[in-house]
Amino acid sequence: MQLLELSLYNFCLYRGEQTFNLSPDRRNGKAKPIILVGGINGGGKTSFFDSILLVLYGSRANCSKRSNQSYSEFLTDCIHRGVDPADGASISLTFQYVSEGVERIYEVRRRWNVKKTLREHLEVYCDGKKHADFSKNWNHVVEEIVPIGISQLFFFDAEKIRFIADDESTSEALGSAIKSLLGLDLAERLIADMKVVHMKLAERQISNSDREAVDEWKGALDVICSELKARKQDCGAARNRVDFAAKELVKAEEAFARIGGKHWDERNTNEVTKKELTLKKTGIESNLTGLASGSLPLAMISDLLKTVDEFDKESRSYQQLIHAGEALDSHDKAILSELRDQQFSAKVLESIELVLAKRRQLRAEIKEPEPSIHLSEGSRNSLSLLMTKELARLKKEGASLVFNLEQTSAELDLIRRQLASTPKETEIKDVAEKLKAAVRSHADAESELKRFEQACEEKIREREEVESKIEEKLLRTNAEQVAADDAERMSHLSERTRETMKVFLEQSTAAKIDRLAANILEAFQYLLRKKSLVESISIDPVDFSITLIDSDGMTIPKQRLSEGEKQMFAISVLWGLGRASNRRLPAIIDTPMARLDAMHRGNLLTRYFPSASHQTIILSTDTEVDEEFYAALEPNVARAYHLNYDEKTKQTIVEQGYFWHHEEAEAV
Amino acid sequence: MIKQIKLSSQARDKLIRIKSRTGIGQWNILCRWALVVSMKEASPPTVVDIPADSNVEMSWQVFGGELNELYWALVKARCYKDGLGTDEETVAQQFRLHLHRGIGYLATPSAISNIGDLINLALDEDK
Repeated sequence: MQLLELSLYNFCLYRGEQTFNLSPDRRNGKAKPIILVGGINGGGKTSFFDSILLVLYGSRANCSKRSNQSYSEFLTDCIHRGVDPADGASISLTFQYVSEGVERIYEVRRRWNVKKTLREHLEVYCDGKKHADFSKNWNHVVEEIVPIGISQLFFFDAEKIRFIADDESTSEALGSAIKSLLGLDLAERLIADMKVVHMKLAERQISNSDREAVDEWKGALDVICSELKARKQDCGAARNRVDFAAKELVKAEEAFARIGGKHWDERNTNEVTKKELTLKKTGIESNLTGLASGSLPLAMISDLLKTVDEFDKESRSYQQLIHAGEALDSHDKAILSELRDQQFSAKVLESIELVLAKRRQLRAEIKEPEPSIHLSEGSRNSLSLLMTKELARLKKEGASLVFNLEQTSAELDLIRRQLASTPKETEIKDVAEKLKAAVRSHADAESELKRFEQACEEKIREREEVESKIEEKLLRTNAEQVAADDAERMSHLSERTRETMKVFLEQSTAAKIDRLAANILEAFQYLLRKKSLVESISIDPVDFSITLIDSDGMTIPKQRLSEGEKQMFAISVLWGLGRASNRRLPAIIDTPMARLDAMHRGNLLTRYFPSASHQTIILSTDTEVDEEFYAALEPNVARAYHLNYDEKTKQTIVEQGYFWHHEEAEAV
Repeated sequence: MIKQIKLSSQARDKLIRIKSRTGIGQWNILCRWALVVSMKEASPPTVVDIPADSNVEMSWQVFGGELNELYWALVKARCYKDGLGTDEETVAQQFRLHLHRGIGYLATPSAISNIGDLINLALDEDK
C-alpha cells in the first residue's frame, strides 16, 4: 500500500481545501521514502495524523483528540471553527493497493455536516469509479488492506508507543497485533472452526437420550462460563486494588523515610549505644586526667631537663673538690708539725710552707659553678628515670588514650546526631501507623487477588471438565453410531486437519517468533548507542512477552532502560514487526524524537527513518528535526510541508518546504 | 625555694574555665601544666606586676608534689638560659611570671577544649 494524496476540507485547523501530495520519490535510482511535515505545537500535526485514521476507520478510529467524546460530538468538533457547520468538513485519501495481483488506485472520501443533526457520508472510488459495494462494506474492505489492529504498529505517536517497553502491558495488545501481523491468527481461527465443524457433525448423529445429557451439560457450561466471567471481573478489580495499595505503600514508605523513620526504628539501640559510648568516654577521660596529674607535662621541656641534669653533675663535682681540698689542708698541717718536731732547719721549713701555701691558694681559687643546682638523691633518681624511660612511656600511653577519646567522641557525636534527627513520637505516630496500615492493606489486597485467581482457575477446570465430557460423549457416540457414514470421513478429516494445523501453528509460530526476535534485536542494536547492552531477545511464543538478555545471559528488567532507550526499544519492536510481516504498509510517525538525546536522534534520523518503510511520513516540530538534522535527512526526503499556523485567523495553511527551506523546496 | 604560691584573681578565673574544659579538679596539677607550657616557649616572659589578690593559695610542696625540687631546678635552669640571675628572688619572680603566662595560654579557648587537647600538648613533639 502506498498513500498518494490527502485532501482536507475544513478539517480542524485546516480551512478550505488543503492538499498534501504524499507519494514518495525516486531520483537517480535512489528511493526517497520520506515525507516530512513540520509544524509547531498546536499547528495541526496531530490533526493530520488523526485525519488519516478517521478517513480509514471512521468511528473505530483511535484518534488522539477524541478522548471521551461520542463519535458525532467528535465529528462536529472537527469542523473548522470559522465555517458554517452546514457546510461541513471532509477528508479524502487516495492510495495505491495491489489486490489479487492488480494494482488499483483507491480513493476514500468521508464527509460530514451538521444540519440540525450530523450526517456522515462515505464514498469509495476504485480506479476513478465509484464503487458501491466497497462504499457500503468499507469496514470489511479496509480490514484487508490495513487491519485496524495493525494500524497502530504502522501509524503511531512515538510518545505513546513506549507502552511496548513496559513489562505489564506488552502482552495483549502487542500479542494480538503480532498474531495478525504474522498471519498466525488465520491458523488459530481455522483450528477453532474445525473443532466447531467436528462437534456439529457429531451432534447431528447422537441419540435423543445422549442429546439430553449433552444439552444439560451445555446448560451447566453456560452457567460456568458466566461465573468465570464474573470471577475474571473480580480478578480485574482486585488487581486494580493491589496496584492502588502498592502505590499507597510506596508513598507511605517514602513518607516514613522522609520523617526519619529509620532513626525511629533504631532509637532504642541508639540510646543504648549512646549510654555505652558515654560510659566509655568518661572512662577514657578519667584515665587522661590521671595521666595529666603525673609527670607528663615535663615531656614538653625535655631540653630543660637535660640542662638541669648537667648543672647537677657540675655542682656535684665541685662539692667533691671542696671536700678533697679540706682533706688536703689538714694533711698539709699534719706534715708541717711532723717536720717541725724532727728539727729541720727553719729555712727548709719556710720553703716547704711556701710551696704548700701556694697550692692552698690555687685550690681556694676554684669557684662554684653557676647556677648552683644540687639535687637530692631522690630527685636525681627521679630525673634520670624520667629522661631514660618514664616520659617516653607516658607519651605513648597518652597518645593511645587520646586516639581512643577522639574515636569514641566521633562515634558518640554520630549517635547524638541520629538521636537528634529522630522524630518525636507524636510526629511519627501517624506516619508509622499509616505505613503499617498500607502494608496490611497491600497484603490483604494481594491475598484477595490470589483467592479470586484461584476461583478463576477452579472455574476454568470445571469448564474443561464439562467440555471434555461433552466432547467425549459426542465423539464416542459418533464413533459408535456413524462408523459407516460419510460424516465419519468428514469428522475424521476435520480432526486430522485440526491436528495438522495445531502442529503447523506451533511450528510456524516458533519460526516466525524467532525471525521476529532476530529482526527486533537487529533493529535495536542498530539504533542503540550502547551496542553491548542487549545480547539477545527472546519472545515467549505463548504470551508474546519480550525479554531482553545481556551478554552474561541475564534478563534485563525493562525498567532499567532509560526513557530514551525505552522509546528506541519500542521503535525497534515496531520496525522488527513491520519487517517480519512482509506487509507493504506506509509508516506514519508523530512527534518521533521529543524525549531523545542528540545521539539517539541521530541514529533515528540516519538509520531508522530512511529504511522504516517504502513510505514514511514524519510529523515533527522544528526542535525535533532542526536545521542540522534536516540536512542529514534531506537526501531521503521526497517532499516536505510546513504547517503554518496563523494566530490571527486561527487556521493552518499548508506550505511546501520545511521550516527553513521554502524556496528551495518550491523550486523542486 | 619559695614557701607559698598565691595566684592573681584573673588567673584564678582563667583556671576555673580550664577546670571545666578539662575536667581536672586540682589547682596544683593545672598550675604545673601552666608552668611547663610557658617554659616551653623560647621567649622569656615579660616582667609585669602580678597581684596576689585571689584566695587560691598553695604551698610549694603542694605545687610540685614529689618532684617539687626538680621543678625549682627547672625554673632556675631556665633563668640561667635566659641570662638572668639564679638567686632566690629572681627565680621566684620568673616562676610567678611563667606560671601566669602559662595560665593565659591554657585559657585560650582555641587551644584547649577538652582533656585530650591538654594531653596533646605534651605529645606534639612526636607527632
